[in-house]
Amino acid sequence: MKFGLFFELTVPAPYASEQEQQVYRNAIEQAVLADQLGFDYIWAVEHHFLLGYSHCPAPEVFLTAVAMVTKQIRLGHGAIVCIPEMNHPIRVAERAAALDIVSNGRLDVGTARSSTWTELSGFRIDPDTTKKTWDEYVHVLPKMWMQERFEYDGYSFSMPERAIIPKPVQKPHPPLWVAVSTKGTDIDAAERGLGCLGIAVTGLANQERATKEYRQRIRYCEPVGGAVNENVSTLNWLYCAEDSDIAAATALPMVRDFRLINSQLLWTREAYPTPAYQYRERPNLNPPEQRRAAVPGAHLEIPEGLAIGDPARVIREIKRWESIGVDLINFFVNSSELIPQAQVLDSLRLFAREVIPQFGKREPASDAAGVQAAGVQR
Amino acid sequence: MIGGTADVQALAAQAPTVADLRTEPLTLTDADVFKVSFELGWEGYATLLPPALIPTNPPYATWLFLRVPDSPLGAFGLAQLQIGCRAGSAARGFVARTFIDNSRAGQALTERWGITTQPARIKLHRQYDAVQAAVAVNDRPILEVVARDALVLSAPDVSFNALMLLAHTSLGLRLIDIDLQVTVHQAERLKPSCTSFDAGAWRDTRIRPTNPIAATALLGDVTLPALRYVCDPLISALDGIEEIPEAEPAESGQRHGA
Repeated sequence: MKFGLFFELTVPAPYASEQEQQVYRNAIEQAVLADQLGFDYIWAVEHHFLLGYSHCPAPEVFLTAVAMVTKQIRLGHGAIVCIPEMNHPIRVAERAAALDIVSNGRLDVGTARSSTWTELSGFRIDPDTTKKTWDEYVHVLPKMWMQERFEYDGYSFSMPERAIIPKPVQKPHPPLWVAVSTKGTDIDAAERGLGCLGIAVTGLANQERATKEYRQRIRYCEPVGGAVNENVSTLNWLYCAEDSDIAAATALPMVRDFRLINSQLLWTREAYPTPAYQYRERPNLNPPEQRRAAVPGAHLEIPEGLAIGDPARVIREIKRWESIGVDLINFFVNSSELIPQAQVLDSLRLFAREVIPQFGKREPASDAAGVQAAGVQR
Repeated sequence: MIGGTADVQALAAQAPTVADLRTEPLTLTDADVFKVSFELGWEGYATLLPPALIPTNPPYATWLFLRVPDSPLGAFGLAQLQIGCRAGSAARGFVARTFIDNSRAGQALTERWGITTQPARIKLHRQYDAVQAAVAVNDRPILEVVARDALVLSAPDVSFNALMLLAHTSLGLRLIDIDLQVTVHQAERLKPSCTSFDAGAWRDTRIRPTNPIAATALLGDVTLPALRYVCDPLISALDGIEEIPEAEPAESGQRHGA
């Protein structure tokens, strides 16, 4: 099992510039520590206009900053929006190759097509077309990286023969993923030989079903790239403390906060009827998992599957994900900076010391000197 | 987390009374349904919603037109403005205003579901590849919408948000959750444009349609359901949701999330 951190860069209201800057600084500091502690991935999203929810429209910039202050941890686009109005495919190929160079071959490329009306309409994108453009991108990007020269005449763009440079360090190219939040995309991933980058916190039963089908289908894939990236990742919450009740009291408010700010987004499937975005199920008003304890200070129940609690509980929950075939768990570690940075870092340290070794990984190195040397500002 | 900032007491003064929340569902068969969504200007948007409900980004609103050829309430036309929002994490439309051209039907909607209505002339006219919809009060148009370039959809492509509205109930002043169910027989998506809109007639002069989103025209069965949930308008819906008791409130009823 591998572990990563997943950054949305949520910013608390009133979203002042100083708050944005602190969120970026905190995230980079967390990434530096994660690198030293033996985490495997840092992922950064691409979102636009999502006030409060994500102030990360330029992940290649953020990931470059992380690359400059880390040594081993892999850097992931979680994920690049594959729509020409947002990101021309030539620029995607160029920027990814450059980032792979400056990171010494540590880049993973997640691909996506956006799911909010907020973002699509902000760029005047036709929602009907996004599945087609995404599919086009994942077919052409590997060729852009592998071929000396490339020419193309396709659905969303065309170009005469040119040398697309630089080339990435990794051969044949960085591993490719697709962001998965709805049923069907995992099948798209399997059929194309792409990794499943889970971007919705899902339940164990759903994930087990989806992983099983993915593993079956990828055996017969027609790879879009030079290599098959057979990997399943899921998204989770991480807060590790010596006492589970303290962990719950600290972390469950951030889970609730994120759920509420996530719900503020205007989803395309809600606003714009199209086969390209369909409802999975209509949400009702009965959220039993969100109910607070009736008595202040009473035991808060941590939902199953979440990596929140003391090390023993966190190990137990992660083993459940491992048992259903998940290869990588990416963690949210904060939302709207509700948890003080020092506590987030302590949680990462405890997780690395007590949990990571249970999954066949090396002991983490000492981190104090590394943080100083990286010049990260608190 | 920022919820709405509407003056709930001011809204309460105009809210209807629903004497008994235990209502039977009602299905309106073979209804013409026309749903038009627009983004709204940000100014004043939060004041349209009570604190229990959370604004969306961007703000948006939906006009829902119904043309019901026959029903236990008679034939009627209805036009309703719903302000897009969230109750907890669930997508909802907070009802701003409803107009109807059948007073008997309007009275039943008020008594059974808390949908306050005002009289108006409702027009919903389908052409080959366009739909025209309009609402007029005392012969004065307060909304005119035309939608063109129809594209055929299938049923899974179409979704409807549940409604929420404020009413006086046996449980107190509450937001009633109306989980509208629509069985789609045929549907099309169109591009809407709004040619006339009187915001004041729809509750607030600051309601300002801006970027058109989409229109959906469909033929289907619309079910107004039995009511299941209400919530306190003053606190987050995550904490203030109540399940409507099967018996009278004095005999049972347990508040969730208290």
